[in-house]
Amino acid sequence: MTSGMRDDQGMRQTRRWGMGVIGASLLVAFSAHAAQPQATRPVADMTGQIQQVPRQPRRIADLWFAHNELTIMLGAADRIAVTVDRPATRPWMFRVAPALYHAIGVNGPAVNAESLLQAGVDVAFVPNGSATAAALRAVGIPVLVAGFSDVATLRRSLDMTAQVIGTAQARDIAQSYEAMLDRVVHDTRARTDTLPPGSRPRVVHIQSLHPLRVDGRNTIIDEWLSIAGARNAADGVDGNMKPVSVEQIAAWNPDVLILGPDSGSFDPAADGGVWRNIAAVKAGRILHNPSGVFPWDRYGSEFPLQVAWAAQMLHPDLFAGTNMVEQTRAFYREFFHYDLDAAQAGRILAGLPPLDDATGAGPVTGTGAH
Amino acid sequence: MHHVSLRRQGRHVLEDVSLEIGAGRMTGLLGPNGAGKSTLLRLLLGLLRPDTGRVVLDGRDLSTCARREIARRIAYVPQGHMSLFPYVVRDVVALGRVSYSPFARHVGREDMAIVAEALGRLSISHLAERPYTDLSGGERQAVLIARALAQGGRILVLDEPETGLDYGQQQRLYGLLRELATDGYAIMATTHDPLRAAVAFDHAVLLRHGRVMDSGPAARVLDETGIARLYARDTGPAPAGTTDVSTG
Amino acid sequence: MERHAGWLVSGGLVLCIVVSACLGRYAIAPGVILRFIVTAMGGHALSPAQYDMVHAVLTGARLPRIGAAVCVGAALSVSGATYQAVFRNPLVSPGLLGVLAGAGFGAALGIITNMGTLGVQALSFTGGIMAVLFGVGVARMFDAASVLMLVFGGLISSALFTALMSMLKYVADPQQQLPDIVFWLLGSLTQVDVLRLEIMAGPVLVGIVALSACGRMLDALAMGDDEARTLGVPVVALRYGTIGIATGLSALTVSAVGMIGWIGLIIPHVARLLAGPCNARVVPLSAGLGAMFLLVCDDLARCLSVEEIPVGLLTDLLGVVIFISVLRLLRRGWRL
Repeated sequence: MTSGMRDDQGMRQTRRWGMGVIGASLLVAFSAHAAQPQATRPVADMTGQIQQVPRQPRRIADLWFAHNELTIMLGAADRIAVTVDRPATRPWMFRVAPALYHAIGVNGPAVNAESLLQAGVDVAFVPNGSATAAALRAVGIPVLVAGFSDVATLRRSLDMTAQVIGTAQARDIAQSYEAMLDRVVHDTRARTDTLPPGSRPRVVHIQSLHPLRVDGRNTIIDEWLSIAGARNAADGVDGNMKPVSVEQIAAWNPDVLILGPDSGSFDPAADGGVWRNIAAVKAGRILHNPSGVFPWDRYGSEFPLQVAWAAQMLHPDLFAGTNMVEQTRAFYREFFHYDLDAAQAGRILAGLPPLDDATGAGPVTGTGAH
Repeated sequence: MHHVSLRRQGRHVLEDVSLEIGAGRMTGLLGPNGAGKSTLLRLLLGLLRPDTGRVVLDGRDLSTCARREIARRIAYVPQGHMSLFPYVVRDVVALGRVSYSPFARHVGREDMAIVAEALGRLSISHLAERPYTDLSGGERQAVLIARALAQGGRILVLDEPETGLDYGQQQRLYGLLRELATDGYAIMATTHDPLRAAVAFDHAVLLRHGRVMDSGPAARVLDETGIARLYARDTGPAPAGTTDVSTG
Repeated sequence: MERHAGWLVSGGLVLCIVVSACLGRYAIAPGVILRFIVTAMGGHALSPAQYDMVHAVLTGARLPRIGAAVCVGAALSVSGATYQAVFRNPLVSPGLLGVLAGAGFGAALGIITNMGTLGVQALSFTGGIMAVLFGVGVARMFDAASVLMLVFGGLISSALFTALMSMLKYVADPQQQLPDIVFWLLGSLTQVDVLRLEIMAGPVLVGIVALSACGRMLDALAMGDDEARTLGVPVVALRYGTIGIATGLSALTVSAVGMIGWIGLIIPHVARLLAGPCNARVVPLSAGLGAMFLLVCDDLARCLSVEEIPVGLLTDLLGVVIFISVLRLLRRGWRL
């Protein structure tokens, strides 16, 4: 009995030693591997941190919902090996870039580092403040923070992404996209800047109706509202998706309501008729925001389309010449290499998912009430 | 109580126990720990039902009586206990009337009079507004007896009423119980004090290993040999082996 | 004090309701409210457009919320007072048997399956009741009459449904559904409208009256099971009956407004401080105090800033402050 126990202890001791040796040699092997100056180059991510990324990343983990669109636009959809976007919620994204169906879908930006290793991921994009970044870096995956919160950071994020992808094509697309973005913003501003404050409608952008949430200052929503010649009526709200009371909306009494693509169904008779007494509802100025590869109103590369759409909707006389259907088709052709017909463009403008004709993949409508 | 038996986990806790408590009489229930005294009290109060035999109250089987009916006939005075919530004495005694108007928001005028009378009888009217939780052991017991009287029944069942009382308090307690018996109450109490029981009670029931060992006039059954046999060191089958004789 | 506590609390509640009706992000001057009343009675003190707006804000936004705060606050407090009496423990709250965990799970399930707000509410109510039934079922497997077994069953049920809810949070769509679940869990009265108030008000009133009526029997129960029986109280029926009503009340309100903590725990203590431990007084008084407390918290939630503050957060914070300030007084009452 006693000797058995001693043997056992001895065994354990040996095993522990063995493990230690194996672990140490593995560590040595790995660090030697990482230290090799093999085909990597430095890229600064959005936080300014320098990351060593492979010269030609083959398998990208795109762990921020809004960033997948940039990767797709830069011609690297087929390199996305892991994505947080899902066909059910982003049907147009998967329609435009069916290569995403081959990517592993993960639920939410918190992922297991080992499963990314298993998937052969060689570079990962994460949102600001990602909790997984450290864990991924610990297993040797270069992680780039790709978050953006306005047009300026959108451009930087796009440039950074093009650098990571590392192709001439990506850099060209980024350049021509930014030129187009600047042109749209400039042209729109040129007309709206002349508007006196009284002609700028006061707009509340509703992200969700149940519960009621709106977007305030220091958001990309605030930015396109201002470019398109409107004022964000949500005074005192700072940031994204902030809960407010219906009474607060009545107090703001906006001229226009813009309902986000996933805001749920709007009933003007709800809440005892408060809505019906709001100027926007009285005047019938309730707009449903378009939604394509990504919701246009939020953080995505379809920002120029959103600016053009909002400008025309808010100032139809000023922008009578805008043809949103054609502009949308042109944008998709050039930047997503996808030919929309007029009806499809119309569905995007109406915030509707693609008609279930080609793939039969049965896109689920994401417009149910929440 | 006729030929009552009760089994728990295949073991007889009480076996073929018969006893009677009568108006105007004080009956003492004695026996070593584990003899089945508490079980017997619970049967008497209708908290347990016998496996065989019947507990009969004025000709009616107790198991056919509703809780509220039993409460108006038989009152129970538990050993002093603590309540976590600081009810005042008047409220505790008023609980004796709960079976008369269980859903009433306020205790009625008549019920209040009965409560006041019970407090008076126990000479604790001055405690009426004191929190029950602030009282001494003796005072708490007086409150519980007042509550039992407020229930309006003529049968009082007491569980080791002398526990925690000093000699003087015990004297006053038994004096009070005697008064009540004289008024026609039927009184049944368990006790660990055979010497006092021999004097204080009219009738005694000696319980050992779940059987009635002897019963009869207290002075007769609680003689020296009776006490010795009752509390003899155990050699029998039941595990009730401790002979914890308390001779206060 | 004890005699007048009822009048005091009723008066305070009425005052709170009146003041709350005058408060809100949409500024209505007290003078406008007076002119509104004049117009409503047939006068012409306000223009039709102004009248419509004030009418809509008052009846559509403010009064339903005030009504909801009163209902939910009262229901949770009464439920807590009942639980504390039945379990003979001043530290239990209505969540003890798993109703909150179950309601949270139901709501998360409703949000994930896109059931719409009424569907979420229905599922949440069902979840709360199911969780308690499960807990009671576990208790009955061992010993139905024992309080300890009930607590044990509730513990298991809470753990199970919390785990199930975490699972749903894990699979929820992190862009749309997860924020909704988190918002629900924080508790808010923003979603209450007239319809929900109508669903809630009747049962809450009936429940409070029924539990108040059981007050004296609950006092007897506080003495212990056997004593309560000898006093003529049907212990098991009373326990399950009152727990059933109290659970129904909390499930109904929690399903409408999400998790709102602390009220069920502290308000009964404040009521006992004012009126002593008799449940026939504590239960209705808790209703009034709870209504007042949640009303004040919700006034802060909707008025303090432009953004809506989750009211569950405020009840937690204010609750802690109140609890600490009355703890010294409470210690006199308890014998722990």
